[in-house]
Amino acid sequence: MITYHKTTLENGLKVLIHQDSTSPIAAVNVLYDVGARDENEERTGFAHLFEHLMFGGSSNIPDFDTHVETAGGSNNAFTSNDITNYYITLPKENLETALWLESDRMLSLAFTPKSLEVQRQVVIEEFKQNYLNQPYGDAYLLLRDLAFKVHPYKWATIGKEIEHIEKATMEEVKSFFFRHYAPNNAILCVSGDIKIEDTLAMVEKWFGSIPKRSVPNRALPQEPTQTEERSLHVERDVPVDMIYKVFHICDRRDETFFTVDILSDILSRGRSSRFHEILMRQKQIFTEIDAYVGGDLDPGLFYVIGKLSHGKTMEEGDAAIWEVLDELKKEHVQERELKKLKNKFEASHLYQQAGILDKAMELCYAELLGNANLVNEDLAKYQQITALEVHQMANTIFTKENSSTLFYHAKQQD
Amino acid sequence: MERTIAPHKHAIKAPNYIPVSTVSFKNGSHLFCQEGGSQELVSLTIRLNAGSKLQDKFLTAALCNDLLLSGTKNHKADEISEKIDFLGAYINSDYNQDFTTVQLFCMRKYFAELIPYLYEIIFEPLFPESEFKRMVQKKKQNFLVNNEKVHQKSRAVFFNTLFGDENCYGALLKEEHFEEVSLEEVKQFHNSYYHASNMELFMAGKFGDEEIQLVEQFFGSEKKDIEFGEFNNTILYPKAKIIHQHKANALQSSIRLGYGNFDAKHPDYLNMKIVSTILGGYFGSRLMKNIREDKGYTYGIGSFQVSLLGTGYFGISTEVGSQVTNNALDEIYKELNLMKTVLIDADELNLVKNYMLGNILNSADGIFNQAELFKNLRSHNLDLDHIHQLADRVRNIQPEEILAISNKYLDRSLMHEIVIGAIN
Repeated sequence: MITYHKTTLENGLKVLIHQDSTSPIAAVNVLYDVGARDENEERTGFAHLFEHLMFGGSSNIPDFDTHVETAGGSNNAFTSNDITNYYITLPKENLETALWLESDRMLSLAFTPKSLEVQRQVVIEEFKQNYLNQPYGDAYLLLRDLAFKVHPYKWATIGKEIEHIEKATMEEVKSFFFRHYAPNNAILCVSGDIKIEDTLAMVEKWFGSIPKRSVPNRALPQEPTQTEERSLHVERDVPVDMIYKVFHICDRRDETFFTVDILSDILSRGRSSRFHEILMRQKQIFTEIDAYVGGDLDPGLFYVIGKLSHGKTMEEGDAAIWEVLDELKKEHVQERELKKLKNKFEASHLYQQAGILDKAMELCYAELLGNANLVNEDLAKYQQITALEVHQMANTIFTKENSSTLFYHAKQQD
Repeated sequence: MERTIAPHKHAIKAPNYIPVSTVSFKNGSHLFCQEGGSQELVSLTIRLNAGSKLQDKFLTAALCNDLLLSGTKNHKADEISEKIDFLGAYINSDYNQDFTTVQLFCMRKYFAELIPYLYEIIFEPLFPESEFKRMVQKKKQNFLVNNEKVHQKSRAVFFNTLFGDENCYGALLKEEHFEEVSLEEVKQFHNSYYHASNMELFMAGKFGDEEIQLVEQFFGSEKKDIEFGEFNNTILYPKAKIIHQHKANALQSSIRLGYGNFDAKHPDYLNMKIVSTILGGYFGSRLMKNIREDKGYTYGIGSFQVSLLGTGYFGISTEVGSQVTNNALDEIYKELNLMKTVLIDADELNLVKNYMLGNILNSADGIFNQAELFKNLRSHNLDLDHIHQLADRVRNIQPEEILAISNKYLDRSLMHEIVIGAIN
């Protein structure tokens, strides 16, 4: 159980405070409700590029990192298709330094040309390092493009192509900031061995005077229902064949989301899961195979990703995956298997909520979903799932016409 | 409101570690206990002296470790996996040159039910042939995939260059080694080194006397004299070499500089920890400021001083755009030279001190972080005093000392230079 205090400032900033007397460290997490899905299709990768620029100096403070480090802290951020999330951890005595820094960059950035030029280069190197200069690095870029035809989930947070990042202008950067970076588009969580009254006073002091901004309503094109099976074959200079298969599923806020989630757990959570036991250990068709759900805020994807054993063909691999999925469509899951997954979910829930920063991030994300208390309610939802619901969900999702498959072939050696 | 004036920054306190108590068993093994935390979770780590330095053939120690969960005398593999999963527990195993570790992580209420399984997994595995073959293939695939990554490749070449083929830290794994390893050797290895009197145990989280007694019951009585085979641990520290390997079509080059030096007990180890942090040990370090934040050549660059058993190394590592490889190398050498020639100014030193003290404090956040820290120290025959010594050194080090240490240990002539990528 995570307890918290919640309030909303006059400018619309949502504030969550969580007390944990066991840690010498305090965490400050700021979630902005903006991600790669909010980008213009001609300027993809922008939300992520912007995340880098947020460290390039704010209106009153030229050097963000120096202050965090001098206060004995560290900081970082990440961007997804849905959100951009910033965090600082530091000794609790220096909490105010973190609030001062985060509030100033919410107020406004320095927008120096040098920062834009350098971060543009850094992001291009990140693009190369993680997507282009890695075996299988482009797989997710290809997969998104195959599964989504209309919705902005068709591109990854790093962007569709390097050119988009190269072309970004300072005008676009500024306009992006004032459209999306606003107190009324953010959620702040402070956690640690802190007093609620004192913390609230500090938050009010530094964030209270930031003006509310007009944030455009999100009107994203929704993905039409897929009606035909899709597949793509590519050949690359990689050592092993891989299969990437995805199915369209509901969004994270949907009531049935955890039923989808448990399906992925049945398939690949733990060594006793079906993929691990049947496809890796018994039949030895894959050396590794995994299933998971993205958990996106708009309807997203269910992923099945497998690395084929030496000598097995793509056809054998694909058929073996379908055999396991079809079994779920035919037979109800046994009570013991369901109970096992519920126990595992409960335990991992406990493990995950150990750290001071983890809790701050989870609270912010739950608040974005609609209610911070979901961090405490999700467990019960998962516990209530029945074998019948799992069976029905498997029949809804695992159909050929709802699937897109990327066959990633290893180039034949001469 | 004055936003340009920073709030007052307070001095950073020393961490409050939960004390470690030691229980000694009849067979001579020790159990180190760290009791605390707010949740009903417990972890038990078993660390055997069964690292790869003891193996005759490549991959033997690794496969022995990988195959622990493939079934025992009393339970089939799937029964064990199902049991662990059903109770929401995790059993993870890992190995390196020096040790094999197996860790149980579970809710306290299931500890008694799980510990017999932990015992069986470690001492009574069956090593079925089919699982052996499967695991060899899986490892080989991972090896081949990693071999395509410039940073993985340069990492392997780096250690091989620093410590040499004959040394366990330098031995270079090759594709043919996957054909040479045998199940017989794996079984033999297990038989030689997996014994209750050849281990240390670590328990952390929520537990009491009952759990300690259970651990003793399973792991505290069996005794056997272990004959350690011969292993070569001499290091020649070869003269600095320049190795550039071409990889066609690489968009980035992986650069690694460094050399083998000393372990954590060396009188200059703590000083080098501080020096390597200034140079490239944190986000605002000199290498990051110059090569990422000023030039944009890379997504990240770092430097580190690491302790191994009986030796250690200094290193710098980065991946840069292919066309700026030489520029990046020039800038790295420029930064090394600045460390040697210019006294660090007070602001920068103050920043690094605070950053490092904050980092030390962070290591005390939560019982399981503290447990990891202690286990790591213990593997070098150190204890929490080492961290207090580091904190003292950080508080007291002077600019002149940093200059002197840099002159002694950051000279270009000491550094091996490894570049893997598209070389012009």
